[in-house]
Amino acid sequence: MVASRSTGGSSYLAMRRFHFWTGVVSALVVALLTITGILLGHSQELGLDKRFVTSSFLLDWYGVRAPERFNRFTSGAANLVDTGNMVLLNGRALEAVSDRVTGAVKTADMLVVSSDGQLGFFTDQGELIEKVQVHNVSRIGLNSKGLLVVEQAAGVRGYDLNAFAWADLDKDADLAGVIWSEPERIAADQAPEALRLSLQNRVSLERFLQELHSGRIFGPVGVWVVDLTAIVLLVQILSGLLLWNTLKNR
Amino acid sequence: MKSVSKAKIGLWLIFAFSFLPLACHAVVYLQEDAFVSNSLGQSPEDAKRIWLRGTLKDQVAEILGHPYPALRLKYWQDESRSLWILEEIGKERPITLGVLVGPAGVEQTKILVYRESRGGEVRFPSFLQQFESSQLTPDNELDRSIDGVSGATLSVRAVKRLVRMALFLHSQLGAATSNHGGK
Repeated sequence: MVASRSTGGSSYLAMRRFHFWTGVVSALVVALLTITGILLGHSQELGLDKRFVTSSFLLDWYGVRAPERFNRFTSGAANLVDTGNMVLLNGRALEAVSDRVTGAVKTADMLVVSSDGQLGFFTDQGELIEKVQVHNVSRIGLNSKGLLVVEQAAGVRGYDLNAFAWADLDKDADLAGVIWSEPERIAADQAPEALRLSLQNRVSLERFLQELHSGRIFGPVGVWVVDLTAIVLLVQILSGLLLWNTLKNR
Repeated sequence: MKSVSKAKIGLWLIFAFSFLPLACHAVVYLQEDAFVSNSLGQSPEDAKRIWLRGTLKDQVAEILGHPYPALRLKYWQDESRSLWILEEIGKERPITLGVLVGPAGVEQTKILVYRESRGGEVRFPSFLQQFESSQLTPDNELDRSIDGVSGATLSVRAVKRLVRMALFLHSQLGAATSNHGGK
């Protein structure tokens, strides 16, 4: 009798210690999950997807940094600035261009912007007309006949801007007198509006909270910690029930 | 003891290196030219164009929840099928999706370019096959439920919107087409 009571008592104490310490260890993560979970549950009402992180520490964590120099392309009335993470045309974001800009050419009725993965054709107001997938464009230019000349790693091609189709290129005739689009490297403070826009609205509060909630903000280990906490909570349900049952039967 | 110390150092190194900032990258799974050629046997130069304006523009905006960010779209067409290459933002970056639509609905979908840092599982056939033979209901919804992919909710929603858009545009061919360019 004495032996069974002491065995039951020591098991109870061990269970109680286990329950206590797992609770203590997981408390911070549980609190974080609770708060972020409640906020995310009301994300739309709170407009969290339309509100953005402004903390420079957090923006640094996400790799959002103020660039020191920009590439500027000028062609006719078009002034295009590539900040490295954003492209602006005459001060307005050109959202259809998400890769590094390699050239910008203004014709009578459109603006052609080349980037690493595409040729984009835009109206004067920056509306995208359409785009063509094309790779490794190092630069573009216009020849005297209005043919768009596209230089890629594999060679030079011609693009007919009237037919919106690739055109045969006579290297001797068509490449003579090509005016190539070249970037001008400028200090970021020479384009203050571009600098300001390139830093804002990059990480929404919703995204930040989602990644905090899942633990992803801390990388794979963060996810494992959240998963482990969830398992601990499940185990605590069992240990809590056992403790309650033991007390009830005493 | 030494092996225990080494193990501890190893664990700390793994712990330290796992705290990495999130990175985004574009992965091209299939070139547009290849998708057009493999799916329809046509070349990119055979593309036709359709202008997004008027009610067509409004209805596409209703399907996507926002205006499509281009004034016109390229598409390819044979006697009974049409092929669309469309883009939609998943979480923050655009997903490029190719959709082949035939008389019985969607025949093929392919993720051509994926630019998000997570959620790329939407490219797997196990997800995309769900769209085969799907059609639109009278209110421009898909005629079936599509199982999502854990951790890729926003990408899944983007793909669903694009498939609906492709089906809708296919149904509109003949009413608002404009043949421009190509051969």
